[in-house]
Amino acid sequence: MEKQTSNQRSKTDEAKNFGLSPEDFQTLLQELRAGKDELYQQVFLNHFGDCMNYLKRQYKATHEDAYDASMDTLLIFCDRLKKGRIQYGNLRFLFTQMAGQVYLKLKKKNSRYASFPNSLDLSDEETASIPQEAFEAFDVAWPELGTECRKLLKAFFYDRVKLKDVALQQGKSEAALRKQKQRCMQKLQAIFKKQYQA
Amino acid sequence: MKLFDKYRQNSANEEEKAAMTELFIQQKYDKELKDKMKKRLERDHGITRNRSQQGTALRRKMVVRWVSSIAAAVLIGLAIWQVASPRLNYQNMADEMLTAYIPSNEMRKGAGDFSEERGEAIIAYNRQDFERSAQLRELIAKGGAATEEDFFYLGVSFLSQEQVQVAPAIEALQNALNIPQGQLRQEAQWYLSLAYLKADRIADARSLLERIVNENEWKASSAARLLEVLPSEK
Repeated sequence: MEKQTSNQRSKTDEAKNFGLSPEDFQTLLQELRAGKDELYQQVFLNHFGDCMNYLKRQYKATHEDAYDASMDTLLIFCDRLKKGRIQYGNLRFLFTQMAGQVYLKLKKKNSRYASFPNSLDLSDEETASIPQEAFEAFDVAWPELGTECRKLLKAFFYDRVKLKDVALQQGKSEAALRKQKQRCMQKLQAIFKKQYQA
Repeated sequence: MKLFDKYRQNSANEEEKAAMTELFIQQKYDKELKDKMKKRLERDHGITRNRSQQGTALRRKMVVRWVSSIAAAVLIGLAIWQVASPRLNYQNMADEMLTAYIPSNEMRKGAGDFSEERGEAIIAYNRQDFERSAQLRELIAKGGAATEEDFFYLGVSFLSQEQVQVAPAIEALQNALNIPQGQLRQEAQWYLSLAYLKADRIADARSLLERIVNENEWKASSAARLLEVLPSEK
């Protein structure tokens, strides 16, 4: 009887967490920090339609706005997972609440790109002040950076892996890796400047 | 002054530089993830941003399912064929090992041997334009100024091209190994053994692979795996 109740409880927990058990959730975090997003896509895209329906029902969102807000929420949610800011509990509730906030922000700014709620400590105004050509120049500059530098910067800035963990994986000291990171950023800036001025 | 202006004018401090780097990288990879998810939503769930495309997307999904089933059957057939051809096993493994990892070629600040041609070759190599990279390194070699690094990356470039050029790759890697006290000796040895396998020169490959394993050099475990599948009589 007790076992049955415990099974029911774990089923309810999983339903609240997009079908993920606590162990699955840990696996998902590990994969994301290893730069793999396959499982994330598989789990969360299954609920994309539900999220859109929620926004349409709750906020009378148009189809396009509900799509954009759900998509942006997926990106923000993913980043927060990697940063360890989201805990297992009621992911579904958290996700739909976040989608609501993203939708309202999108509507307020009336411009999708400018209102993209980035996860950095930069204000929306700062982000909006960067011309589109700069992002295009960066896309050209990025492949010109060496493979090792690209791996290191992506792991640190996008996959949110701590420098000491990267150091451990590579058998280097944290201080050496910090210097390497600085050199890589320097190099990237130089290549970017060249591209942007061209 | 805006952060971006500071960044492009080189007046950003380390923290600001890190913030801009983070922003650019995040935007780039978020965009890539978004594109992947858009495609997947359309393919697997029939959801598109434009509502009028939804019916088409669902019909397309059915077609895609049929095509995928046929493709899967063909792939299974191919896999069975691969398993049934042990002769090619070592070549397949060599191909996989060649594509799984491409050594990076960083520019070294302040190096005495730095030239414009070499710089261009490095940029081409990092863009994975191996044809161009090989052309430039060959020019350096013809000018008589080639270093171990030039020969090594020339060899790797030949091996990484869409149409692999085995004979020139072997020559370049042998040249790299002929340079005394080279820094890239272990790497050159490994790629030369893969090149020998591509050329079906089993005895030469075996001798190099055995040396790598015996001296526990770079890629020793991969070399051991290759040795296990090499045919004995060649």
